[in-house]
Amino acid sequence: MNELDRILLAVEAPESSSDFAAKVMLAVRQETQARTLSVPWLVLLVGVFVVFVGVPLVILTVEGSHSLSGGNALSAKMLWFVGLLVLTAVAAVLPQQLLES
Amino acid sequence: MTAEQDSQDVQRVIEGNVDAFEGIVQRWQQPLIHLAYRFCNDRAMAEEMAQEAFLKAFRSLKQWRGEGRFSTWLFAVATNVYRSHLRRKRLPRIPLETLEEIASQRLEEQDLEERERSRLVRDAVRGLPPKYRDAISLFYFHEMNLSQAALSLGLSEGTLKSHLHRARKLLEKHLGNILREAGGGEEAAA
Repeated sequence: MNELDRILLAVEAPESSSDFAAKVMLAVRQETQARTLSVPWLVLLVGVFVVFVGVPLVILTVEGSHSLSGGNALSAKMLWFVGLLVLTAVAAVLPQQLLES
Repeated sequence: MTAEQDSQDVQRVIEGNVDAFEGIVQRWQQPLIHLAYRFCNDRAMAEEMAQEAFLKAFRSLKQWRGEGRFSTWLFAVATNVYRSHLRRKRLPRIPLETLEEIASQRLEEQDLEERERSRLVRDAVRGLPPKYRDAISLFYFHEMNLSQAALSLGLSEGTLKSHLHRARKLLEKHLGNILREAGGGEEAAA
């Protein structure tokens, strides 16, 4: 073992302060509480998004498809279906992603 | 036994018993503070960094799949947290060239004391480019266990070896005098 190895192996770490574990646990509990509180807010947020953006979008698309015919009506219905699918996926995934970030 | 306790505590935390995390904190606080201290050389900051690492581990506990040792996963999480922390804080780093000057001036004045020499070497490690600094910090933290250090850093053993080789070359280039002086002193004493 050379001098460099000896010096770098011998680094003495400071002792942790006596209340270190208590501080960490306090931060952990605060975070858990914040997470519990934030879930209803996220559900509300997604709900508002669906009601005020998603539903009008769907209604407009369906109404638009009635006035169309043949291939155009089919495309509009497909669009409506895909839009709903995307909206559902966002509503399902977004809260989890936001909580984990 | 520790590995078994870790697994049990992790399981309990995942099931919703937050208090079980305290067992993990109690068992690993000292190693995590030690590792943080190797990165920053500052006691208060080391505790702050270790606390951040524990919080990050708590948040991502579900990602530990129980395949490897919990400690390996925890050290990898902590290493990532410490690296980001240092990037954010931008700690003042003394350039290696300046350290080289300081070391040679002190050598002219008198023989360097053991503590002074160790401090200069640690400052030099902090002055290395981050990838070499991390390699050195983890390798010596794991008591020169190459595979453990590679796992903590998420690198292959070959890459780590090459980083260590380059880091040692840089340290020897800039601190060669004081390292030779210490080695010579010991040989003379023997």
